[in-house]
Parts: sequence; structure tokens; C-alpha cells
Amino acid sequence: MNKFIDKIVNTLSSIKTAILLLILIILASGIGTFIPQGLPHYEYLPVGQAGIRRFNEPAYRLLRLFGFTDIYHSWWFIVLLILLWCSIFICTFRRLPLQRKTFPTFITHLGLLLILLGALITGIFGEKGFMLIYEKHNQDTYIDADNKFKTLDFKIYLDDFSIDYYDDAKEPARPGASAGTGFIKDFSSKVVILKQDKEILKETIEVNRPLKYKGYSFYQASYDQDNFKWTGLDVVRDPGVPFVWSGFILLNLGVILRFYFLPAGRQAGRQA
Amino acid sequence: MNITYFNLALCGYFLAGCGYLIVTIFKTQNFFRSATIIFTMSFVSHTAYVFERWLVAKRPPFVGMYESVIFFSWAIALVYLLMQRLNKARPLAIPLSLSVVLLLGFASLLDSSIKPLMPALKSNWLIIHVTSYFIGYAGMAISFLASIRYLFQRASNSPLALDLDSLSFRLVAFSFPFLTIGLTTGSVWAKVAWGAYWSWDPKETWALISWFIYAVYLHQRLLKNWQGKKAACLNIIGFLCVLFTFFGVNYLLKGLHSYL
Repeated sequence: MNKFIDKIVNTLSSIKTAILLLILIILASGIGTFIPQGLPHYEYLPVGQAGIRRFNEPAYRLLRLFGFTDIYHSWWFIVLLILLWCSIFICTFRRLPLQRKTFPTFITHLGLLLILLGALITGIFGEKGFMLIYEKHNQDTYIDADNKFKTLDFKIYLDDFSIDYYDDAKEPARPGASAGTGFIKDFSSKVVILKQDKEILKETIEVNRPLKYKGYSFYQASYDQDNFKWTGLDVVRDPGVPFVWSGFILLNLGVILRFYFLPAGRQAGRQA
Repeated sequence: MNITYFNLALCGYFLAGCGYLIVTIFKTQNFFRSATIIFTMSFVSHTAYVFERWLVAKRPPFVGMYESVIFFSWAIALVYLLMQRLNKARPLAIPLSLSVVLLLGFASLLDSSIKPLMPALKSNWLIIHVTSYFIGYAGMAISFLASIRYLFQRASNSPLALDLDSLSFRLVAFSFPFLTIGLTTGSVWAKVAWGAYWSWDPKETWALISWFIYAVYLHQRLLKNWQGKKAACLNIIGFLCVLFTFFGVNYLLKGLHSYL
């Protein structure tokens, strides 16, 4: 048994394996951009939406069987990512002693490990949903990706929803435009967070300025286009985010140190 | 929008390219400096155009394909001039001038109307994300030219071939951190704007694929002593992925980035 584990660890510690895994991930990811992902079954068939690649029923069944209609969530894709993680882990800790010379490379790989770990945490513990609030009403429930209703232990009250248009008289959407072009400059929701009818927080949610409270984030996503009576917020709770952010910092620090600050001698790759 | 600076830049780059061509055909090395001066003046005009557009549009000129191509070609000229200061760019003078001229020519065929900034793009992240990516792309583009020129060399160990090989690697090493910054800031911005740091959107996916390929390139170069032809081919594949990320995704696929 020990010999078997040794063999696996040895295979995973080779750069060749890492590169092979990367190539497989690249291929799978690329294919996923050409085949529509995660759509309901009828969208793939000839009578589906215009512009989407269509297949006949047997072809669709075949693709779905092997996970090609939802590649990024298929078990084999996730296994590839986990194997990549193990490969980076073993390579890093086996081959990169923590010295001044190898420090940048070490933290680059550590960053990658954290990012992938964060992604796994997001996949397992992340929550995502949609919340609709009518103007001058409360809301404490959102609908998640599996179409289940989830209730929060606080309420959000929509005080006001507003849309700003580019006022062509004062600030043209396009220079020289005289008539109303009707382009939207910004849309936002003025909300109040209530806990047991007590006002906790007042904020304006805009695109690029989400509201954060108790681990949840609320993003301005959509609105009632007919009567402007409700606002649509995307609700997200993602405990994986701090890992991903730390990973990003280490990754960037690592590549910058490695390629801009390492002494010239390490810049190999030159023909002798 | 006044395109005088654009026209001056385009003509200037073309003249510089002709100048470089004369240097090669007639072997008049002294003329090289003059051609580079013309190139530099074109770059100044190009810069003026970028800033003028920024002022007129009242936002950074990074929206839409026209502005992207203008800025991309600007970044290529910038990186080239930086290389010139370090005396490294001679073998690439002609293909580079030609590329910049072609890019500006392509831009002139696009819709150059000034588009308003959509709510999703109103963010400080716009500047750092787009700028790092275009500088990174520019470096990779020049590296691509070096690799292509390398493959045309008959002797793989002539001084020119060795120079091109070394140049192509160092440009990838220079550009890779910029791609990394671009990719990660894009992800952070996506979280702020759309709630998720990764959605496997085609643009994101192909940007990641490009990044992976250059990562493989760097590993093969540094750890497996890849040189010459093998390295050049991988480099070319990497840049083809960059081209697909930049243009292919917008014109051939659908996704969140469809307004670029």
C-alpha cells in the first residue's frame, strides 16, 4: 500500500504531470466556451433559441452523458482541478526550499494553492440567489440557484429605487448628442436593513457598490423595467473569498518579485 | 472627434516603417536613428490622440473595440520604444512598425463613435485592469513577432537567431506579471460588479487559458531547458490564444464581456 502511495506521490511531483493536467484543463475549459453550458435541455435542440449551437437528440444525450453540457461542474473537471492542486502542493513543498532565491516562486505557488482552495470552499459552502424587493416594502427572502426559498434573519426595506440617465443637456452620453439618447448612467436602490424592526444600516446599492452585511453581499442586478416598482438584487455569501484574495496577493507578489527583482543570473532560458 | 493626431500617428508609423526598410535594404545603419525618431514622434501624436479621446469622452478611452485597438497599438509602440532605449529592438523594427500600422488601419474601419460608460464599467478597477492587460498583451505581441521571425531563420545558432530567441523569452517574462495583474484585478472587479469572482465566462476562460499557456512556456523554458523551435511554437500558440481572447470571443462567442 505504501509503495502504491509513493508511486502516486512521485507521479504527482513531476512537472510533466502538472503540465499534462494543465493541458487537459485547458482543453476542457476551451470546449466549454463553444458548447452552451448549463442550459435547459430544449435549448440545445434545433427548435431552441436562435444563435445557440444546436444538436440533434442523440448528440445532445451523448454530450450530456459525458458532462459536456456543464463541464465546469462535472465531476471529472473538478477531479482535474483537485489533482492540479495536489500536483502544485507536492511540487512546491518537495522542490522549493524556502530560501531567498526560491522565495518568489514559492509564494507564487502558495498563492495558486490558496486560490484553488478558495474556489473549492466557494463550491461547497457558497450561497447564491436572487432577491426582489418592491418599493416601500420589506424583504427577507431570496430564491437560490436550486429554486429554493431561503430566509435571512434580517429584513431589507427598499426606500427608493432610481435610475439616472445621461442628461444630454448637462452631461451627454455621447459628445454632441442633443436629443435624449436614453442611455442609463446608473441605477441604484436606497435600502435600510432592519432587525426586529430596528434600523441597523442605511445604504445605497449601486452597480459596482454592493451592500455587505453579516457575510452576505447584495448586488444591484436588475429592476422592474415596466413600472420601476421593484429592484432585483443578487445575493451572495461566499466564505471562499478571503482565501482567493490572499491567493491573488501572493500570486501577484510572487510573479513580480520573480521576474522583476531576481538577479540576472536566474533569468535562464537563453541559449548558451 | 478630431482625428488629426490619429492620422499623423498612422502616417508617421508608416514612414518610420519605410525608413527601417531602407535601412535593411541599403544597409545604412545611420538611418536607423532617424527612423526611430519618426517613430517616436508618431508615438507622441498617438499618445495625444488617446488623451484627447479621454478628455472628450470624459472617461478613460477603454470602451468598445475601436478604443481597445487604439490603446493596444499604443501599448505596443510604448513597449517597443522602451526596448529601443535598451538597444534590444533592432531585429523587430520592421514587423513591429507594420503591425502598428495594420492595427491603426483596422481601427479606422471600426465604429469610432464615443460610447457611453455603462453602470457596470463605472469603477476604478477599469483603469488598472485594462492597462495591465494591454501592456501585457503588447509585450506578448512583440514576443510573438520575435518568435515568428526566429522560425524564419535558417541557422538556429546565428547571432540573430540567438538574439530573437532570447528576446522572445525575456518579453514573455516581462509581460507575464502584467497578465497576472490583469487577470486577478479582473476577477476582483467581477466580484464587486457581478457578485462572483469567476463565472467561466468565455472571455474569462480564454484569458485563463492564455495565462496557463504562458505559465507552461515559462516552466518549459526555465526547468526543461526548452529553446529554439519548440519554445517559439509554444509562444506562438500562446499569442494565438491571446488574439482569441481579445477578438475571437467578442466576434465569435457570446457572454458577459459582449460590450467590449
